[in-house]
Amino acid sequence: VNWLGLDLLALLASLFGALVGAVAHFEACRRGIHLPPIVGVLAGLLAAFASRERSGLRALLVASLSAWAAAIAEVLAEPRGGLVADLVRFSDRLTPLSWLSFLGCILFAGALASRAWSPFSAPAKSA
Amino acid sequence: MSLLSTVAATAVFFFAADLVYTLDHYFVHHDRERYRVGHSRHHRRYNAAKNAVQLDEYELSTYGSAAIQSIAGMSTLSLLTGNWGFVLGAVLKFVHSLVFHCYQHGWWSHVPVRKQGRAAPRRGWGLATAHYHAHHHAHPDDAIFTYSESWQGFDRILEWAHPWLVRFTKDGRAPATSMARSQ
Repeated sequence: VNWLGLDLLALLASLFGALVGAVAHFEACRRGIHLPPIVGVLAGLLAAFASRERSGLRALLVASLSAWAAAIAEVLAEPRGGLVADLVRFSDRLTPLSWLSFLGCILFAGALASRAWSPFSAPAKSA
Repeated sequence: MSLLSTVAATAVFFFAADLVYTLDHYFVHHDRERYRVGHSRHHRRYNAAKNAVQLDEYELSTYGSAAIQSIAGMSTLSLLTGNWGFVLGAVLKFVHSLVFHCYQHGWWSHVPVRKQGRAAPRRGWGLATAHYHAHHHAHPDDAIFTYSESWQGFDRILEWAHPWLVRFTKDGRAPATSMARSQ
């Protein structure tokens, strides 16, 4: 199955990358450092290494996944009114600089996840 | 975030999504390989007796994929802007596509859509009705463009731009292939 450019391996790889990135971002936030792009880089890299064909659709999905993972990590590190309420009002806590860092997260994730760096070749297309 | 800005974001995305759907639909019809591999099945189905309760696997996959892409992208935009109208617009567009097509399918039985004697729509600038878009399903190569699902104006603009725009389609960039297809 290859659904929106994500086969099962690429899906699991990008989820794992986003999870590891979110944990790193969570720990960084607790120390006062905001690094959302780390989530995008890890999710995008793992998606690329697990993919055998380039895909713009995969790039969009992994970019969205990374932004949400980074936002969840941030609200868990600095809770104010509960997870859902904090996410609904997430934009309130964004400064111009942190907005740009989230944009970086999205761009890194998208640019990397669109690539196909799997050492295994793509399957032949059927007619 | 005011109600007005939420409604505006919903409408903007809904309108923009339909423009993208209309353009993509036009480009599919001018990409011989893409049409052959997937989309032609959609039209073959409408020109035969109804063979699935409502949407078949290809249609569900197409509308579902577009919805997931839209909702993923717009949920991120909503998260970062605080305007949840964007994601609401993406959800509404998906619901609209499903309801729009399922409504058309209510007319359809063992008699193919093309053989139901429905009159061709006139070129207009109003809202695209289910009857209007159904014409495209039954007559995919008609000179009256009926690709749009919400505003007929997109089709009129496409008809106007077609002589120029077609050169940027897959078939338009490969004149020999296009000529072979038309023969």
